[in-house]
Amino acid sequence: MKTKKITKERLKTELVWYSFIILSLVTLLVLTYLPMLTSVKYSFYDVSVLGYGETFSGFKNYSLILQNPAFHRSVGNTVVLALMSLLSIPMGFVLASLINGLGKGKTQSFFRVGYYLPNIVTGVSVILVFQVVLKSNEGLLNNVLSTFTTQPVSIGWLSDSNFAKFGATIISVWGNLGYAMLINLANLQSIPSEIYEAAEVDGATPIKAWIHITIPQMVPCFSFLLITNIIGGLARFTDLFILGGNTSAGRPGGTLQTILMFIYQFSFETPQYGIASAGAMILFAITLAITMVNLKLTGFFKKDER
Amino acid sequence: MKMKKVRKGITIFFLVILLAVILIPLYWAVVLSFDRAATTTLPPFSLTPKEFSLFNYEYAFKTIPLVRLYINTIIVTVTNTFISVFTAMMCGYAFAKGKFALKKVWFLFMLAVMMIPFESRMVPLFIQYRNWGLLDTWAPLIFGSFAYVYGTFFAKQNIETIPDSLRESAFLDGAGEWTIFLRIIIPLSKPLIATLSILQVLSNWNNYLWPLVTIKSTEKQLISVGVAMFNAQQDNIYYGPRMAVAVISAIPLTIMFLILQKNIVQSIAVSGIKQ
Amino acid sequence: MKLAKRMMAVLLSLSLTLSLAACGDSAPKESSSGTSEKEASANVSEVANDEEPITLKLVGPGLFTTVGETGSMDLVTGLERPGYQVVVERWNELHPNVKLEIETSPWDNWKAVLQTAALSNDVDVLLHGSSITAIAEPIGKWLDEDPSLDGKFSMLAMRRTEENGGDFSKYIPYGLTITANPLLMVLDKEIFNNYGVTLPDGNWSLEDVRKVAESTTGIDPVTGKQTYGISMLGAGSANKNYIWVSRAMDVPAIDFGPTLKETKVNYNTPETAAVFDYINSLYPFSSPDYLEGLDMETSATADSNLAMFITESSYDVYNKLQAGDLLDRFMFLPLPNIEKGENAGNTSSHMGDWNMAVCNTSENKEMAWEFIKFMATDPVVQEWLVESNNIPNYLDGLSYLEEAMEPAYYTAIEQVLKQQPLEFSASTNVYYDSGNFGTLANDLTTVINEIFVGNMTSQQAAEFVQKNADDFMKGLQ
Repeated sequence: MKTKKITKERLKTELVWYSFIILSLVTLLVLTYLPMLTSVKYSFYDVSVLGYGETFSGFKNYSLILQNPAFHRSVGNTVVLALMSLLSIPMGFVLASLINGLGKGKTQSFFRVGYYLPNIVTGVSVILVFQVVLKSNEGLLNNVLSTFTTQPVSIGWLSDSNFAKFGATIISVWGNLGYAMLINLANLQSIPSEIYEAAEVDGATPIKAWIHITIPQMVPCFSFLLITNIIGGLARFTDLFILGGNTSAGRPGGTLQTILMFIYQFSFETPQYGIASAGAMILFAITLAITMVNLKLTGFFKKDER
Repeated sequence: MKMKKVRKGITIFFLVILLAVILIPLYWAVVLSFDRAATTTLPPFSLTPKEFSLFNYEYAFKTIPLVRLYINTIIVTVTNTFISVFTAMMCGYAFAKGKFALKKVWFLFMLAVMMIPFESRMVPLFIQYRNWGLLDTWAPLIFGSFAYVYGTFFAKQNIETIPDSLRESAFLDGAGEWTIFLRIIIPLSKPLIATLSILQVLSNWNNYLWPLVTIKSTEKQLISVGVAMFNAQQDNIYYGPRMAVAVISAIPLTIMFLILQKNIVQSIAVSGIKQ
Repeated sequence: MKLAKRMMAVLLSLSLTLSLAACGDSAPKESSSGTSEKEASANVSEVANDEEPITLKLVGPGLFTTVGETGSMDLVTGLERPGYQVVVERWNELHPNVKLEIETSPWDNWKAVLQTAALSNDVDVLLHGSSITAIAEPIGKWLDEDPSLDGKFSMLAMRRTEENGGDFSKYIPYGLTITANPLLMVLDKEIFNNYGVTLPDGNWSLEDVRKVAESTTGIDPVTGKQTYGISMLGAGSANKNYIWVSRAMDVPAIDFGPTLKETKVNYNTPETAAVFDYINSLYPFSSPDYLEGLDMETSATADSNLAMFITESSYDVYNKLQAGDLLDRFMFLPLPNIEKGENAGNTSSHMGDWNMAVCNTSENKEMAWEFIKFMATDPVVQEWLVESNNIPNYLDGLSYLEEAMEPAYYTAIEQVLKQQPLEFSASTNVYYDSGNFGTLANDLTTVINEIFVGNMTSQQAAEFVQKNADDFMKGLQ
């Protein structure tokens, strides 16, 4: 009698908790996992346009894509671009430190808003402006560089395949700096002030305190930004798609083709849905691996049920 | 003391210069949107429009049904934001404070989704909605927001920092988990809700490919697609009008951010990003 | 607590419905894809009966998007163009029971739009869908039934396919071209005069182009301004420059067999390298802004600094010239002559197009064909095409163009349209193919740009293109 009541109560609490998550779980199951299973399936099929004939082909799509130099290049591009865009983290940190040093008040929130603005305004129009800012002949950036170096600079930041990754990085850092600054700032402000007071008593200069106290305290914040930036970088698509003239070829010279653009290219532009699906699976595996490492580092697996 | 003031002055000076550099592209875009001379020829960079006029804006309003697109986008965005933030809070609460079977499994189940690129499951998803007969409705745009994974993760981290004692005392008063959630957790999480809302509004507002393929009728279409349609209606790149449309579509976001920005910092500060 | 319970109930039932709907529908999804779908739609009444009300759905990018329903106004020229309601009204006069539903889309992601539209089973006419053969219905059967259309078009939307036992080496028409966009050279006569360079005529060679481009690059002796000899098609679509040059030099690279697998692709030849070399030899005479596509800003204006530029949208250029009162200063020429082969002596200008295709998931294919035929031939539509600044592909429609344009300009356009062999498609031919060989088109664009900036030699470029083509051919099942 008693045990029965306990299980009943147990069941009731289980149901209550499940009522909180069931909606999201079902949504994910139906709208994410189900379509993804279709992609898994088609990664083993020879299919050009989905819905128009398919034949089973085993692992052929995978072996093709793994041998495809264009795919290798897109993986390389994605990784390099993701790493380059990490520049926004140290820049955001320095910026946040400076802004934090101003003390709370109107000035601080002015800068907070100002630096975050680029994050809000994205899309085609920004790219259009950047195409002019970064053009090789008399572009705004090259003009500035010419003035500083006192010799004519004409780098095709977005048109020369040797420099396009730098141009693309300028655009992404420009867009993400505000976010990195904001996260850094919030974390800086949550460092207990007692630590600094103790250091001041010990006679540490602000610079020393910054190096020996602030930076170590911020490591978790950096690693958070690092992981989210890398995962975001792996899925980079829109800005480079627009830069390439609304194609996924990754112009110039294919140096800006990311994995996702490769997948898009084979989904729609030169439809071979089987290959696109295999590419998507590989991208999924890469991202999942990185996330698992992240979870492991943050101790997710060790933590006990509370 | 004086030393400190000088240092602060230098810092502010440096920050202002850097901010100016960063905002130049944006500022220039706004200037161009007011410049009648900015058509196919881009006037050289200047701080003021060469030929000030509201023509570009008038032209934009005349060419595409901006008001309609605006209303649609606001309805969809607000609905989505409400649903997704609320469900994310629900899940976040369950994962932070709940005790139930398979909790970790489900959490991983949700996290793994963050890694599936939308473009790669778009066509199968499209076919599903076709089979449900829901194409050309807002359903495909809205249903997905019943699961907001990043928000769940974020909410879990935040809610974990709320002391258990609050829950326990409410529990003793006979309150159920839902009451606790609605009466205690939600009111305590205002900064978090503001942050998640901003992130959601941003991503909804700029969502382009999915509405482009699922919504066919112009009267149901969203502003992101409207902007692309506007750009497609000229044979050339007309810089001025393009910038005007871009400015128009970014105004609500900017205003919202200005209102809510304080909360973002707060919620990030209290959240367990630091683990 | 009550509120919470009620909410829970609502949410739970919502999620239940969602999941039920998912399960209920995932099964028939499998069977509805693939061939069964096509068979099913083929059985639907073949008769296009005007008596019963039908709705035709049109989806896609292009002219309808540009002009909109009620028309549009150009910002520079101030020219107003009538909207597609003209077409709808005319169609409703002829077919009062067939309603048109037009859903326009931008060019961005247009292939994704058309593919998903076809998958939605709710589209009859694809606006510019012929290049995706999987979703477009071949129109050969209708063309055969209608001999009155013979020889009336300057081009047809031709593709290759090996589906359903088709012979890959043969062209199959997949759509009717509504408007044609011939490639034309626009010449600034004033710059030619200033340099004392004799104006070429329509009967010119690749070498002539290079020579005049070279001698019009530099500081204009009269105005003292920097001028550039030529602006080829934008670097972003450098592959199109490959089409006309390889065609002019007659350097075939693809030997089509009865199936894709039996087709031989060979770009790694000295002849292909020579095509790259020629394109590269024009590059020094273009503006430093050419690579970014920003060199056209002053083109066809009084401040023009380009002696020649190639355009795909000649009517827009014409309007711009007319608005600037510059028609006397500029002229059009077809691209240089083809040097050898069966078309030797004809212009190497090819044509882009805006076509319409019948979607193969349509339930009203006969009526859809009626509509695209109407678009391609109806006199009111032809007049509207010209009024909205387009070049009709229907040869009888050219008379409207002749009335609308200065004779000198019209002649150049007419020459390209009339010299175009019907059996030539700019998207799939022995020189170039944009649809059947994976990333070939993108690869050509890539290597040409790499040659321009000096990162590749023409030899390496030919090898690169061939390598990717080989990989693609190897992957065929």
